[in-house]
Amino acid sequence: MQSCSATVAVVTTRVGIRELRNNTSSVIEQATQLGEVIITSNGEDVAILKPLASAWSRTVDTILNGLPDPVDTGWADELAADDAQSIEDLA
Amino acid sequence: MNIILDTSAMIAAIERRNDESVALLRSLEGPTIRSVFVDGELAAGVETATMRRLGKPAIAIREATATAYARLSETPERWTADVIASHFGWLTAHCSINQLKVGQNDRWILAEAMTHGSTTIYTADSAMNALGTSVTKTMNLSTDLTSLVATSR
Repeated sequence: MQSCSATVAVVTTRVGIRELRNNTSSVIEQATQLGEVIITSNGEDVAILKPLASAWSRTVDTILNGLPDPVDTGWADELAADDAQSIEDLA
Repeated sequence: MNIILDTSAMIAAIERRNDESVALLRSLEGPTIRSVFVDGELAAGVETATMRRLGKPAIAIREATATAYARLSETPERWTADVIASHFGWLTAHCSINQLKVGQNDRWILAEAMTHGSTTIYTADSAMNALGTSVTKTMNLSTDLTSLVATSR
């Protein structure tokens, strides 16, 4: 198994096909923990092993992907104005 | 740790599609605690857009924000109004004494979080975050009561 630093923050793990065959559970566990493992064959990247998104993250994706285009309606300013009006009870 | 998304964080994520706020939603590991006051502010935003006839796109994005909040949150099993009211009273006095100018709804949302315990409110409102920070320090809470969501865009 070999690891290399792709960026300062992200470490990509590479696993050869033979190791995937011999230690399947272990490689899947790594993919689950790291987010992905790249499978290599003869030293070349050939596939990516990634865990399925959780049911919750699929829910979030569905919500975000189904949104209408963003429109700034001035809502944040409205909210701030309402806040400003509601501090009169503070002596 | 429990999470409450406040109205400003939802507006930043959905209406303005702010990168940091969207990332916050994507990072959630499960439903957040539903705040009746956030729900109310979001409903008010939809009604205001409708009554002011801001147009279909504006009404649609506000409705989408309220709907997204409802889907991302769950009403807690215990909702003890008397305890929340007690925390609201304490927070209001704390604001007065420390000259913190924080709106009533924000104080109610903070009171909800204090009632649930071990709860952090994610907000884009710096005044609310200042009060949360002050309360966390004053009461020596183990969980920060608020966390400020960066809204660079």
